[in-house]
Amino acid sequence: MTAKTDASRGTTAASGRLAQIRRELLNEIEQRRDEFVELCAEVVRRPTENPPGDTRALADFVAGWLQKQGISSQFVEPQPTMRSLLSTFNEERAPSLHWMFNGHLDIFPADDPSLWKIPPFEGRVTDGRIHGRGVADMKAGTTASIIAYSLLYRYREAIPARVSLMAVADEETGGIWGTSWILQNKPEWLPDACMIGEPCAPDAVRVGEKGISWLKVTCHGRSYHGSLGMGQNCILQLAEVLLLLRDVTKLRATIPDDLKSVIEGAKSFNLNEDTRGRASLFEHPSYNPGVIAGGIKCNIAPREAMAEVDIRIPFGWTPEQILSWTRQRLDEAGMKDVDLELPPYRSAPNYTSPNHPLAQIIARNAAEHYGKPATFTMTTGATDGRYFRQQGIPTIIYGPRPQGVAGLDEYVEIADFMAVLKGHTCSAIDYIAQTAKG
Amino acid sequence: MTSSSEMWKKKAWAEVDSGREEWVGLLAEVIRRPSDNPPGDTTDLTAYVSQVLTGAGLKPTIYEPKAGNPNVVVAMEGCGPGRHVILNGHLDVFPVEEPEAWTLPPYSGKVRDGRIYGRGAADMKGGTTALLAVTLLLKRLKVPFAGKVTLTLVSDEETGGRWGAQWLVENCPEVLGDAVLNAEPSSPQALGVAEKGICWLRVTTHSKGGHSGLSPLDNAIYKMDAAIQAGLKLRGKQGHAPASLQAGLAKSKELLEAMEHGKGNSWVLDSVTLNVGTIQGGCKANVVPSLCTAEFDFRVPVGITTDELQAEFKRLLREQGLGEADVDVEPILVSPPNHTEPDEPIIQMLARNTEAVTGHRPHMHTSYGGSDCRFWRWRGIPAGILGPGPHGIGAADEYITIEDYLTTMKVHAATIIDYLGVSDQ
Repeated sequence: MTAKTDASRGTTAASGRLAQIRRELLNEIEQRRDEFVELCAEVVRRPTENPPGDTRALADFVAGWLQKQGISSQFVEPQPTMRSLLSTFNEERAPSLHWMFNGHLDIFPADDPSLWKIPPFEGRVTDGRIHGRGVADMKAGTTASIIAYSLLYRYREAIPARVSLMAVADEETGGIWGTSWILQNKPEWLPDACMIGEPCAPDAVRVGEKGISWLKVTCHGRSYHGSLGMGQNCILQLAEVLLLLRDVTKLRATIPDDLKSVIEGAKSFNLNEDTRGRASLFEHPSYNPGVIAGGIKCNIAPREAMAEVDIRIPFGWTPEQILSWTRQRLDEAGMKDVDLELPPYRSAPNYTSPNHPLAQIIARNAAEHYGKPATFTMTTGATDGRYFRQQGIPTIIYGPRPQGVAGLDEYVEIADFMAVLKGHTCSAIDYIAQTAKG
Repeated sequence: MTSSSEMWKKKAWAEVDSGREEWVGLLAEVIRRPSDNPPGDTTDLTAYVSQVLTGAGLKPTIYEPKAGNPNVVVAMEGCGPGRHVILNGHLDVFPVEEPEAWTLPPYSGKVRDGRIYGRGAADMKGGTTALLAVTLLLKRLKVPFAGKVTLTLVSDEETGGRWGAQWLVENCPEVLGDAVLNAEPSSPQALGVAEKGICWLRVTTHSKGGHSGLSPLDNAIYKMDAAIQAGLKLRGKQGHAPASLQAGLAKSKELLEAMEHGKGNSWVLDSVTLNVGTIQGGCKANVVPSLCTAEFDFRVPVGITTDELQAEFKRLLREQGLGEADVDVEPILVSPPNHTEPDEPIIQMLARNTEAVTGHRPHMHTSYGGSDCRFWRWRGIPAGILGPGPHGIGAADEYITIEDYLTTMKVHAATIIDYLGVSDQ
């Protein structure tokens, strides 16, 4: 679905003073381009690999940079070393609208740095790209949010909304100590609308994501000498269970009406090589046995064997329903003794309607700043957006195109970064202009 | 069989009975010194055994090709030239996987209701200690046997014997001998002459990896699933043992069927079995595993070679769609099936003495487990097994009966006397 946007005219909801601010900021962003790119490189230079997820140095750096712009911030660190940064303005004026920029500071591990063509934490800027581990997922997006937030702060007197920045630790391992913890423990940070710069593409707007169900499967056996290897072996049973569970990918989604065209669009929209030809993932669960372990010795029948599977759930299913489907399949196969456990890391599929003004405004801005009509899309992964959507808060993802996220030599095009920076800044202004009651 | 042989056998048996407390106490001491393998450190137990031997006036030699795995070799020269019999047992035991499942502590060596309990009591501290005790007994009674007895107590049997019996056989010619007596758990009704081979293979599957939400098919754990299915197709494949073993094999099957763990499973004695003992793959649920490793424990019956088994497994992997890039198979331990012909003198003597002690003639037993006898049999040296009946091997509350333990002592003492002969002086 292509957003109804006329990029050449740069349609915006802002008028009067806000329209003027918008023009000034777009000018300023172009003028300070090198400075902002360098800020992103500085963020890359502070490694925050998760695990272990120590974000202190980067959170401190961001707080220091904000301080230089005259902006105060606070930290929360519910888990030692996992430091998240919070900042807000216009809180006292208690306006009718609370806008949130959310992004995470932690990143995927770099694996072996010697395998990288450019050292993963050098923060090199070359050939129109910013290089390094985590720049795509999602330091470029988070940096764009931080800058957008600081720019809006300067005009806070004229902005009829509360605006917040939430730069969190611990997204990569589930968000338990980041966004999820903050929203559960500090309800005053619940916004009315949220924008996240997770990797996406400068000409795409992500409105939803599949659900997650990590299932832990445990089979039990009796240990005996392996020379009596005649069959009752829980590793063999687990292998059978994993074969059986593969059928989960045959379950069909029930796609909400307002998402049907988005799913069609997502099927033909390719983020990068990795996602090509994966269209059916939006219509069915995906299934990945990610971890398997069992036994202590080659010649002893194992007493226990365990697997962790990651099932990504399409619309129409919940983790609990996937669990009961699994239980039923195992019962039918006569394997009642297999333990199933649904770890707390789970979520139902979630989305914000592409018809919602937030989605429409971000799509218009994407088109304006990248110069191409934007596509609404979905992700097969998960983001912290789910924690906001679970609370009924409209949440949209708009970030740079990821390159090399799963492997080595990750980078982001500067053109993407600039479009995202402008998109975040202007979407906030436009949404506030259209929504705030003043 | 001379009358003096008979006399010395009776003396030995009387010494077994009268010294009952001492022999049981010795076994309890051995059980109280843990030697779980892995890790397989037997230093403490070996020191104790050496001390016992030295105390009896013997001169043990320690061979420690691998640190922590010392092997004890002690020779007793007889009264003149003659045959050379090797007594062989292992000191290491299965690890205790689940101490909380034991109703008695696993290293207690506790005696209750005519049984002695503890990890390794059956496999095979009971048998090993019986051979040690027989050595002490022959020395104490000054039995005037001809030839030579060499006791070999090894510290690496449970993980394949590389640093135990295999090392000794390859490096110490004095342990080769003319015949081998072993007291692995069998039962006084079963005389071990044949055993299945072992083929431990490490199977590793590979995939490209990536993020779980995207790549549902190229997954190392899926491929391991396929490899396991290939392995299962070999399970149950029957071997064809020589005619001389068939009668005993039938009896072995009958006995296995009568046992709690053996009911319906006697086919394992002459067919391929598979135990997948360990599996490990991936690091995180949401990352497609690029590597998965499992250890396959195939047991190969007499009549199928280990080479044939491996070739067939590889063919089945291909049939499952796993190519060279998808799967590696690496042998961890390959040990061909082996047997000693029942008409060998050492075997016939073991059988007769078992009958003399227990009143029952044992059958020529085929075992589904492997023993260190194979290292001698592969060299053409006859080897027979007679040991206590096992209970709870590799599981909780392992024990043997004291009666079996003493029977094992008696049978081996008598067989040594018969095999070597004693002088009439």
